[in-house]
Amino acid sequence: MKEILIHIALYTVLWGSIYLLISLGFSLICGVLRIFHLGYGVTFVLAAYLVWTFMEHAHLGLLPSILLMVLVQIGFALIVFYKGIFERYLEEEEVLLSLSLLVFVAIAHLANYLFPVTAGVSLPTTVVDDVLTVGGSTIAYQMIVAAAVGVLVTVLYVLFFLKTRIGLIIRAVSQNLLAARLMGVNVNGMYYLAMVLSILPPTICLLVIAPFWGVDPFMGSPLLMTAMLIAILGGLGNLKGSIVASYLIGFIHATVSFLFVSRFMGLAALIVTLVVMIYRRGGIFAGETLW
Amino acid sequence: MVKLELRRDRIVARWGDWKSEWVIEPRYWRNPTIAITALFLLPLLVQSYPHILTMITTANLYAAIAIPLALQILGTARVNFGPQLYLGIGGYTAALLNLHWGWSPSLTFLAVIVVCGVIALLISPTTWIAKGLYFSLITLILPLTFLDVTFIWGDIFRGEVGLVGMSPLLNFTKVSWNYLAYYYLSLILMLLYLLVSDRIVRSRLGVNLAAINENEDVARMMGVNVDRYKVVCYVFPSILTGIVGWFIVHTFRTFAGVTYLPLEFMTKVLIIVIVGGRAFLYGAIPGAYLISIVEDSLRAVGPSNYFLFPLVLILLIVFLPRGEGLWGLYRKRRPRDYFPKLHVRRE
Amino acid sequence: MRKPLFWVGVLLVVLGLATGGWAAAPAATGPIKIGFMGNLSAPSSLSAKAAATMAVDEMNKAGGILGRPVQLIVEDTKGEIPKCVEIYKKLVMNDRVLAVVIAEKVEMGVAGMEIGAELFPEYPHIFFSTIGSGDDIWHRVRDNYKKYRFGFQTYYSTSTNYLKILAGLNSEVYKDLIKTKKVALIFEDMEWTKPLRKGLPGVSGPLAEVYKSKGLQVVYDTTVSLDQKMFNPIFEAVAKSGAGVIDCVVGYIDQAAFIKQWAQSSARDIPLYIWGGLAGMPPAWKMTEGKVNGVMIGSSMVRVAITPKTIPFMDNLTNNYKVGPIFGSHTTYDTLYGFKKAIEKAGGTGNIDALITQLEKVEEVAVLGTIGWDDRLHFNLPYPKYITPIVQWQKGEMKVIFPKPYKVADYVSPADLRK
Repeated sequence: MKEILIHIALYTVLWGSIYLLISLGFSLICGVLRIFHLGYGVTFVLAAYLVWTFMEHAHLGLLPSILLMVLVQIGFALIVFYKGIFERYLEEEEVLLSLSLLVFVAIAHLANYLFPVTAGVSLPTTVVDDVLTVGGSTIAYQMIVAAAVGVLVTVLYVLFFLKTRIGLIIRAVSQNLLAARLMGVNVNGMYYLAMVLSILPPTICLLVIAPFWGVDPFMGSPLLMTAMLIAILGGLGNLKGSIVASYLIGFIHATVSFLFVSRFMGLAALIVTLVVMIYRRGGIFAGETLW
Repeated sequence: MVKLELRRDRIVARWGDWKSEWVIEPRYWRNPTIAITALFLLPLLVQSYPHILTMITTANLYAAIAIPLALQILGTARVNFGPQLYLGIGGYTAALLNLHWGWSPSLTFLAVIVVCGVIALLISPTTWIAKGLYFSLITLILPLTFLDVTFIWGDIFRGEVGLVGMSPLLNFTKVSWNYLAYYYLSLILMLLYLLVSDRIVRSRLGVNLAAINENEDVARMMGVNVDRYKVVCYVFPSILTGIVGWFIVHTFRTFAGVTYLPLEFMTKVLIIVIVGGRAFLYGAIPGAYLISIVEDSLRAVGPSNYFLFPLVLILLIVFLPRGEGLWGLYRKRRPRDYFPKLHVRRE
Repeated sequence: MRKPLFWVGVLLVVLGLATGGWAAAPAATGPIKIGFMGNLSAPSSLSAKAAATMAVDEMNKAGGILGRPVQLIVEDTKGEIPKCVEIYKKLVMNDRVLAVVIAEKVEMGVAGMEIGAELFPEYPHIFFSTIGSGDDIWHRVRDNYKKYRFGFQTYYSTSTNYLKILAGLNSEVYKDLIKTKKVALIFEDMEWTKPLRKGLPGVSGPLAEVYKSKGLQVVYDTTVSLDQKMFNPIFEAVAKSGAGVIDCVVGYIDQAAFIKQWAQSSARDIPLYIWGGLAGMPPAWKMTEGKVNGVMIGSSMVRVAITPKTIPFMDNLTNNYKVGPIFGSHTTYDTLYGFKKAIEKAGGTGNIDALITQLEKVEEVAVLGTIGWDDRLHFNLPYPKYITPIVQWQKGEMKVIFPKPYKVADYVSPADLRK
């Protein structure tokens, strides 16, 4: 019994940190731009397949491919999503949501057309290819690296938002747009910055989890679902809430997998989210501000 | 009971608080009559291509899902991202009752109404409890939960295989007569939905719903019983969607949740509401036909149609008149037309 | 400005409807038409389409069937049942095809067969399902032969055969090759595994019972869902249970993630045997970055000459049609050749019942052995007539380790392979 509890604790931390990395960007967009970005999954798909294209067809090394991919992603997010969709349709949200979803679907199917599952896409981003045996369980080092990266990125982001001046400005924009504008904030510039900042966590996430996660053209949907669930549970747009919710969902998944049948992992998380939404509307930290 | 008054150009019907007007000027009815006649005569055009008949039957059903959705969005003042939940519930109810207890289509029809109504009533409190965006998210998640349930209780719902072999609605001797009859039935269903929704929207009830959509607090102040209207406006369209599920079960005679419950289907219905034009409910019909025809024509292009289809939809949404979609092409918006704003986030 | 645009739109719509299809002359003599339906965004359907095209091209080069050319009409269902229904009607009523091949998941096959039953009295045709797994198609033939007698299912196996034949073969592999008696079972939560988990009443008990009757001991038993991404807890539990082999009755889960996580878990020295799927395809090595080393899988994508047709089939498909043979391509190719022989034996396509009788009796050399169909139940004849070899990934290549006649290499434990 004690061993199972150790397992659960271990995997709560591991999975929670990974889920945190997945959902950080989504919470950021929700909190600052106040937009429910249904096309968020496209970041993962683009990350994986752009790196693959650059490495296999342009024969660049791993690091140049990653850098180039980040640049392309930033351009894509700013031009297609921000300028093309968000700015134009801020007042008509249903159009905004549908267009984001359509862009995501189009990119996923394009990836499927160019590189179907049988093309053997994989990202050689393994940092340490070994396993660690602790207690009664064996864990891949890569997973520990992924969790550590997740925690590190989150800490950096939290420090950025709490301690720096620009972070303060973004928090102000997320709390009260009108007041921020009155204070002379360059809201558009802050939105650009927020969009760029929201791309980095999912990109880094995919690069570190590719060695033990499945890479296929339609992987954006389950990842988007995870991010959405965590954002909803923790309170839309709230970083504190995302952190708490990630570990909570990690805990639920670990408990269900180790104590019951792992088949019910996803359903259990869904039901808990529904229940929390009904009893504490708004999620755990319902404040709709970034922190 | 229902009091009728004859004015110069219209007939007014009143029943308690509900007032409805029927304009009787011929010019007013010219275009709708032409359109409906065209739809009824369509099978003659395509009678040598039976698969096109199935395609437009499906288009009619898409429109029949989009019309109650539009009504629901108007009345509950929130966007429902999961209309297919009741499609699934209605479909599985009809299929299970028909397969295991041998109920005839008319009995399953009544059962679908009751089951969808009860479940919608149970879920309806979310319309006034949950703030705008959270309601949308709940409705987004519910169909996926239901899909998972169909896999977990695979003994009943048969997981990805679905339920097969339900009894048909009609059985003429020749198969092509069956398909023709299904087309007309789906057309009548869709037109009936359109009529009902149109009457609701144009009546005093519709004015109340519009008030709720614009600003709930002001509506409450003006004496509109917001909660009751919201519940009615959630349950009634849900029942209508369930009936579409019943129709699918008894015409296609196979029903698998994996086709109707995931996000792709929801996207299509949502796009129909948006491309068709949310300004008026009529836009759903050209929207549904356009989507079905575009999808089928693109199939000729080959495997690249999978990413071309979303691109075409994006172009349509971007280049059609803002918010008015296809209907905006047909008729310029008049100043006194009610142009409902879809609120996803509500403060 | 808007009004003319609207009428242009209406014109385009009418034109679109008019060009949507074309009526075909009913086929009494003339080319033999075969309709092909699949979800052309899925690799398996694409490969099956290439295999069907290759079969038809080969048949036409050899003079057609009974001197008549063969015409293949390919349609895309996009994985949606309404589309499947629509296209089935088009193929049968419009194009008047003689046979419809559905190379797609089982719910499409079942939906198609239902529509086929409706159309069959007026439009006689034959229905083949070549990728649908599970029992639903042939169960329909068994329960109502008169109504569904035109339906035939070709697949690598069916649940009756899984339980009665393949379970025995697996036991041999575990006891003789891997030298273990303790088995951990992992099922995916789908309809095709239900008979294996719960048993088939009147036929056999569940898989665990069959294994026990062969002298094995099932030490662990669990289910995974299709959308699961994290499998570590399962491997922890498997390692703790002391199993000697992990029997994965899966085909549709995220196998890349599954294998990658297995290779770095507590259970990494316990051999993994997968019943079928992505891991049995050549790109699996690259996809898992070599972590699939040591995994055993039932795969027909190895260059081993089960019959004289096997290697030419694989080479031609890869070279001329630019697609690798994935599961579904063998069954489609073999089905068409079996169909050809049945037509030749029946002497023509005029009498559909004579054709059905011949299909029930026919046996033809196929890529994976011999193709033929059970005369009452209409699923294709099982092992040893139709063979899916068990391969093991050894240092970058799939090597056949079972059955003996086609063995290329010996089984090596994953721990030894990694050294």
